[in-house]
Amino acid sequence: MSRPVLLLTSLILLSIFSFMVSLSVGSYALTPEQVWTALLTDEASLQHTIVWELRAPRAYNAFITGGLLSIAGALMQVLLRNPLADPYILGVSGGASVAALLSMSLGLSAVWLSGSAFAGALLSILLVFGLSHGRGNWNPTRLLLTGVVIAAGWGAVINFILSTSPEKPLRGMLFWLMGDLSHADAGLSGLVVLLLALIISFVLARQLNILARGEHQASVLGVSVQPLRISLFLLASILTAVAVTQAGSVGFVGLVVPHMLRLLAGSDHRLLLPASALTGGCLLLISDTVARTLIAPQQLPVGVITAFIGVPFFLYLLNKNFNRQAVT
Amino acid sequence: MSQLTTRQLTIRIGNQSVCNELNLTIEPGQVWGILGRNGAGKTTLLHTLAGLRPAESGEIMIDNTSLTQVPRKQLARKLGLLLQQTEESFPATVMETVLTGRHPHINNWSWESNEDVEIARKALDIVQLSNMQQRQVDQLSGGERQRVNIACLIAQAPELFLLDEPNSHLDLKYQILILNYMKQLSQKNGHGIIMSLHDIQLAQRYCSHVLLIFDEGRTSVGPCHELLNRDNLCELYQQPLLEIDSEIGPVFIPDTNS
Repeated sequence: MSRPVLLLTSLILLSIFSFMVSLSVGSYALTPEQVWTALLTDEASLQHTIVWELRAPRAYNAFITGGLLSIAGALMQVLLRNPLADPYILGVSGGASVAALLSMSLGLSAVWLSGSAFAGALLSILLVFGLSHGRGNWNPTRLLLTGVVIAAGWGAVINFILSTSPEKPLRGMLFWLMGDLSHADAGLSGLVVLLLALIISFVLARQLNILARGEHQASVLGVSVQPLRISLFLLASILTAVAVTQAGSVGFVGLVVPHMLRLLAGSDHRLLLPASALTGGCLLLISDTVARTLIAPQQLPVGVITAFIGVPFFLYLLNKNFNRQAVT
Repeated sequence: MSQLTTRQLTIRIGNQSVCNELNLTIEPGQVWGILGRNGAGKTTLLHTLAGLRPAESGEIMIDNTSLTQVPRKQLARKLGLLLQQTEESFPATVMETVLTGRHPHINNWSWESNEDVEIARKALDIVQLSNMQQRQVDQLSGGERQRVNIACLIAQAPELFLLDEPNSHLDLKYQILILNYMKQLSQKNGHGIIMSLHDIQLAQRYCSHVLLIFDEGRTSVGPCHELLNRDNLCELYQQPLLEIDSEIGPVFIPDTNS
């Protein structure tokens, strides 16, 4: 079996395993057999309710969100030619957060919350795109600086809202900012967006490989750089917007997963992007399972756990890779 | 094989003029050398000829079609450029890097075929890097990296080769190897070659024509043996030169005493 097939197969198996763990673990523990029975039969039972109504939707949301963030992160890193780029670097999550916090302080319901978060994200995307496009050149440096400044601006507004907000909604706001899946509801559209993103990015993948070699090299090899960059920006931003709308700003997944895969699988984006989606899905799914069980019945924001799991694992991979380089 | 012509081409970098109303025709099978001092605009001229930046005025035609009218990917099958600087932001292997050269020949939905891999292997063979296919490019030496980029251009297999200082970072053996290969491409298959060079001797021995870029946008264009004389070269480089007759023709060396 070739290396890419092997990698994708093991990631799919890991995803299934993560789902099984996530569906079994919780305040009411289920055996794998019970989970299977609940999944495959239609009889009304406690297990059936727990699996289908409580755990499966949440697991599904976690997986989709992780997948979206990882693809968005990988795309942003190539677009900005910056390994430190993450999905939030251009202010998409800032815009979403401001809108979400405002709707929380107005005491609006959950439907309004995700609606306004998505609207805030779109507003921020248009703002960054318009300001960095303007007249003249549209280059990654200008885009990066514009995005970072806009993100900083949103950050100030967020702090303003937090510091003037009454005590009651404050805890919910903080959870939202740290990334929290307890209100996520991706529905079918989340899956559709993820699959569409995979298809589009697969078509763009070879051009991404070339763009990673620099703008001029890409042009010389027949890539229309400007349209490609605009598509990357819009695609990555929309994926981020959808993810943020579900779960707030879950940190770390979008930054670290693409790098993990670059270390494991190389830099061919045709493999890197689908593999990142699966890995990101697994990471967020496992993190969320830990987040809701670690100090149950209390729940932790999932963003805390992604960092706890991701940081040491990433450092391990990095260390291993540099040691290998030192030897050869 | 493609022919490249410029009509009344004027190029500027800021206030500095690179060439003024330049008329140039590069016929299939010709090898052109671009000579000039640092900052004269050799790279800018090559980038303009490859369609990477717009000209101030005038036109560049490839096979009687304006360069701006040719879609990017189609242009990449006609014209390739070896860049002086490439940036590898994310590590890739030598083979992966050379395979990117096949991009203009593959549609977006397909993967590289075995034939593409074979072409890339041959290109690596030519630059003598066959044993490094799986190495990461960022672990190579400057000269090896330059050869990877040349292999990428060979794999791209354009009709016209534009080379920006093909000899940079290369040791003597590989300088000759690469230039011999380019000369062979022009003589056997009729490819047009345009390269910027700093070495007068190599320009004399490999180029059929030269383009000299003096200051303030003044250029001289013509056959190599007519233009590469002591007066022109002293003026071009603002450096006194000695001319020595040898069995292979005149040799110019810097006069270090004046």
